[in-house]
Amino acid sequence: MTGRKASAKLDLRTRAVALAPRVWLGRELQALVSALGHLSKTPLSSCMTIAVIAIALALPATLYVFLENVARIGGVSESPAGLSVFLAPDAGSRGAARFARELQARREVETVLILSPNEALADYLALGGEPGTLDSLGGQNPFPWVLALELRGAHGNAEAAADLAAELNADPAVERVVFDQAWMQRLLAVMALARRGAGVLAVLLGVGVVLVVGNTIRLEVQARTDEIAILRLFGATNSFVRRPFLWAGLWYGGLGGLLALGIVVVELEILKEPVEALISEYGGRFVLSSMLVQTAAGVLVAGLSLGWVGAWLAASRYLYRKIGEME
Amino acid sequence: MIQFLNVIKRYANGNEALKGISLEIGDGEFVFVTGHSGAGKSTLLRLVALLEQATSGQVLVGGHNLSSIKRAQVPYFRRNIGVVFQDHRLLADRSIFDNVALPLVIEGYSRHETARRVRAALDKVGLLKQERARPVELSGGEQQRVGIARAVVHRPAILLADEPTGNLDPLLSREIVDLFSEFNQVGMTIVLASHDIALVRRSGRRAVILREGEMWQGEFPGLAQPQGPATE
Repeated sequence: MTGRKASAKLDLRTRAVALAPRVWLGRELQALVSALGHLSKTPLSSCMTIAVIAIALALPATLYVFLENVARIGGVSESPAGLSVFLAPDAGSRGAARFARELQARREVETVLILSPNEALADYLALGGEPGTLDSLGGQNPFPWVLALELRGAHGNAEAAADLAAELNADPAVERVVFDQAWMQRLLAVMALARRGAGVLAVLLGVGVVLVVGNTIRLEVQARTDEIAILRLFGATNSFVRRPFLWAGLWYGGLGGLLALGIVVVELEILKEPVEALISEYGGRFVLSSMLVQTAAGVLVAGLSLGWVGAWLAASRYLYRKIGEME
Repeated sequence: MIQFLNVIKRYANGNEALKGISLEIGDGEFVFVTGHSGAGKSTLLRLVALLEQATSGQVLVGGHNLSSIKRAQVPYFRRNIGVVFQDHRLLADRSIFDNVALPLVIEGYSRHETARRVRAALDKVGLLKQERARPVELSGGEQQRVGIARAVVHRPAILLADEPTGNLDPLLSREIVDLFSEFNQVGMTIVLASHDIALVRRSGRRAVILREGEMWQGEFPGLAQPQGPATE
């Protein structure tokens, strides 16, 4: 042991010394592994925490998959969604033809059928309309030019149709846009409600995950106060002391997320049959597989970040104290 | 290296642990702080390590006024100091090696450099063969030596020891003080708090005597105080 040359002025650095990347990486990996080791020392309570997180994440995830699938019903139904675009009264045959060409050029549109006022009138009469009604209008044809759109497969779902309808409605040349299938509009309304409900639920359960992780980490911090005091005594920064707890939070959140995915898969397997039966009533098909990657990523990211936030809050609450209140 | 200027430390419960202490400890000095329990020895050490802050007066360490140090600087300041406790405060769930490595891990030494320094420190205290053991497997004297190895492994400028021999018999106590003397010889400033008058007297080193939070100028019963700073 050779002592450091004791200078009159102690070497006081105010900023962290930059570590070599290899040292830094080794330190993080070591913390990652040892955090898992700590979790496994109390298997029962760790598993319970992970299970609570998993359930809290699985519920909104299931709703999400469910809603996304329902939103696609229109797109895969036997008869693709259609829109009837009623043009403004001043639109003539030229205007209608030009607008039809514009619409035909769009990606989402499969076919455009132009329906003139005369054709509409003929249809009206053919369907048993009362000619007298027209006389009371001064003999003028009240029907506008109508463009009947049939939407292309992938763009034919309820939501895409609603988006297109909203866009066309904003056009001054358009009087109004009508969905050909009324049930689709009702579905959209129900979906909007369900989405918002699911969002509120997801936020509440997310807060729940933060609290569960926070409480678990808080107990962990309390159990290791001696160790923390020693670390601080030998010059550990707050971020150094916090590191293992943050890793523990990530483990809880990550493992909870994985378990949540398992729950979602099982749930959907159970729900698949009745939901398919229901949806086939509307001529749709239930598609699970296309959702899986997106849902998996979302659940894992949510789990990891909520676990991290919970751990950070619990560990930091303990760290930021005045000199003398700690050791 | 260490300077106290009229330092008063009053705790929240109204207890005044230090009542206006002024003293100076030179660079590379080995000083004993002695007095009965409750005289303020531990408080004095805690102020140097910035575990407490003075209620009034000034504590200067290495030219830094500790009352004006920023909180973010505290960890870096403490890396200049090694601390030994009476109850050694080793982490029971870690090996001897990992306990001693702690200050180096905190400072971010590479694995290789850490191992080298830990082994050197353990060799110095004669416990190299026990590096895989857990603290409970060692005797009290051995645990204390591990605590000392941990306190010096990062080569601090200042070593503070609070009753390091409190639980040891006279022979082991003398070995510990000899160990400190070796560190002192290579330039480490050492402040050792002990109520063991015999030990302090035998060392023949300068002693700061505290009595109820004040500096005691006279002879401590049974203690002959050497005059002037004892620089080695």
